Amino acid sequence: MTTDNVIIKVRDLKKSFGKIEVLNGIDIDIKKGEVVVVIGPSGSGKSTFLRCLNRLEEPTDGKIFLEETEITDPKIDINLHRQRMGMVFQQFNLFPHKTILKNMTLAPIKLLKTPKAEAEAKAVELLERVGLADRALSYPSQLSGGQKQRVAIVRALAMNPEVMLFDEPTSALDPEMVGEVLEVMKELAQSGMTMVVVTHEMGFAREVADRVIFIDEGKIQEDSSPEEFFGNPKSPRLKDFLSKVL
Amino acid sequence: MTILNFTDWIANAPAWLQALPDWLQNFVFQLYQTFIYQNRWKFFTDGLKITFIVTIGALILGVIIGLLIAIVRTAHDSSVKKPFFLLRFLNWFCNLYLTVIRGTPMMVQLLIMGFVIMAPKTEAGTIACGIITLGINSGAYVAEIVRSGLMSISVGQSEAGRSLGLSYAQTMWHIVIPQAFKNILPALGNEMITLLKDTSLVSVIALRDVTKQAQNIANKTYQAFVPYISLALIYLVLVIVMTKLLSILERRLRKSDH
Amino acid sequence: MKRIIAAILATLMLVACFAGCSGKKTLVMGTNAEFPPYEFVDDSGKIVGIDAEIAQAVAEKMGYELEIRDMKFDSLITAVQSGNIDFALAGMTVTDERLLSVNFSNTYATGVQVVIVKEGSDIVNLDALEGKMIGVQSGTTGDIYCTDDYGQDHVKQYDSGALAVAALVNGQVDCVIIDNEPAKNFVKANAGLKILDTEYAVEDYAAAIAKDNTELLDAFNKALAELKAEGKLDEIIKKYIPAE
Repeated sequence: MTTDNVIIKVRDLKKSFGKIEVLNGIDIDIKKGEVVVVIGPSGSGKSTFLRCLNRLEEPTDGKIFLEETEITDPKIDINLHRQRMGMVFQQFNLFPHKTILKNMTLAPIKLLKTPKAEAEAKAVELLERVGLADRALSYPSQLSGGQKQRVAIVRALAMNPEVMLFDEPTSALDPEMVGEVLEVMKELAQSGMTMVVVTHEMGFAREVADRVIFIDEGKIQEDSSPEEFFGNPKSPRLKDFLSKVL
Repeated sequence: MTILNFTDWIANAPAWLQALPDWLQNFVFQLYQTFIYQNRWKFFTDGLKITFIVTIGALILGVIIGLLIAIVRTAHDSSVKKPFFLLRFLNWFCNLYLTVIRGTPMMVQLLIMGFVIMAPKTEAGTIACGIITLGINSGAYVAEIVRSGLMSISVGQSEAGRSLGLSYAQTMWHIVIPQAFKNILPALGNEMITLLKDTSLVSVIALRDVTKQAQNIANKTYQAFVPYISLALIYLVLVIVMTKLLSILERRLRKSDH
Repeated sequence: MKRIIAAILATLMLVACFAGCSGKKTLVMGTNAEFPPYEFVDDSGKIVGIDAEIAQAVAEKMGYELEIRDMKFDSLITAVQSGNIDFALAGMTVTDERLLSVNFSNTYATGVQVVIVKEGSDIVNLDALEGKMIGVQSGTTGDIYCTDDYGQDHVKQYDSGALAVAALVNGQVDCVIIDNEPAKNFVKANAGLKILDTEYAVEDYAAAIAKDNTELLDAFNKALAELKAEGKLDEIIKKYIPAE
């Protein structure tokens, strides 16, 4: 494994809420273009781990590097580094008072200083990729859950991020809409995007992931290829977990 | 001052008026005394001018103060780390302001500003004193309305903004405040109506708002009915117009939630 | 819950009793208790003064209990007209305009409107009032005369004489025109103020009574005449205004 390929490096990451320790020392290296799926029982700290990566949660201790920059350094401007990491939420979090187009062009225009016309052209192009170009002028409330999540994905992509973080992107969807969102994520993975995905979709993990990580009790209990992970789990906790969900 | 006497007045009135029943004659006489005689309608228009200037000025000031305070308090309460010193100081100051302003009657605030702190010497200064006092008072209530509005927007919205790389201020301005504004519009409208009606208190600092001018007419005519009923109608019309404008604005803003 | 309702009912009954259980009929007087020495609130919170004592004496003569209501001077005439109060006794001057709306009893005192200025003011006589800012107590004869004489732009109306004087002390107005008796007290209480030698106006004080209540007017005048004859009236006035 060559280190110059690593885009995210996490060292001894700890997070506690008051007295409750949620993350208990996480170490991981994520390489460019890698798709890492994070699995774990609810309350295991997997979402907190993901949200620490762009400091939506402030880590209590430990270091996170994005390429060469330590983003846990209080002196850096986190806003600049968040631009490099797109995030997709369970609850979509589209801006309900703005059209789909405006949802997608707000950040590029304000932060990247992209001219409006250019930002809009790019947004339409991205919407075409996910089959929603005709909804550019709709408001989020006029879209189905699956459509909203596809928009949320391309909204993040509009900033040209180097990494995409997904926080249970399909958990709030009706079952018939899960497929369309996973399909978009799969295409994104195939295009070479670095992705960290917290999910319960075992099928997606098996098919798309390069690595699968199992977090429980605030620690990484297993970190292996999907074949190993599902075929030959080593930690007893993972075995127990898989026996319940599969 | 020439005194208007009903007997003289009706004797010189046109024939159609003299043909009316007594009570109606008397009512027309009162209307005449209140509005027409010696151009007394100017009392109302002069008073309305003061009422409008003070209301609008105080409203603008109140919204600015309210917004600033609400943002400071929300930023303080929702910050993930221990807030830095300046923010803690500002938050302490805002809390003090809210406690003092909401804990003392508006009348007392006007008396203190008008006779102790500002003690304005010119008419313009007195109007400014009225605007500042009412604005500072209203700001305290607007702050709490705005804060509840900001709190009503789910955390996910600001997280989505921040995850795109927008700063706290940009997220507030482009994402949270526009949505909060829509939610608080009815409460803000109520505050505006309260403010309009509260301007009648400025007469204690010797401003002649529309209420004071109606009292002045009642003092001249020694009739209460027409001046005060007219005054009530004036306020009522103003409030109805304000309510109407607000509901139009609300409908416009609602276009995004189908 | 039951206990709370019972408590509320008991309180209501008590209040009702206070309001209506007294045996004697009551006579309600309206005044504006910010006009010393005619009427003011004393240290114990009671409304006292020349008018209060005269009213008390008149009521006793007529066989009534007296109740005093404190209100804005502005509202007194209309309160008399609407029957909210039986009469107004508030250092009120008899004017032709007021006579159109209410009846006045016989005069019980003479009031003088004077001009209070700061010592060293360039207002040395009435002619110098032109173009100055005058403070008055809203609705008083001083207010009415000044507004007529100098126009609204030169008159600032305050809710009480004390506020008008405070404004004079602050320099917010150039002078205050008000009744002589309270004026003396204001000048005594605030250093650096003085009363102009020339009087602004001289006028008669009387009680205002509703036009249709001639019965009360007659009884009031009769009682007043008796008090005058007994020397009680002078006694009351002397008590508050020591002879100079």
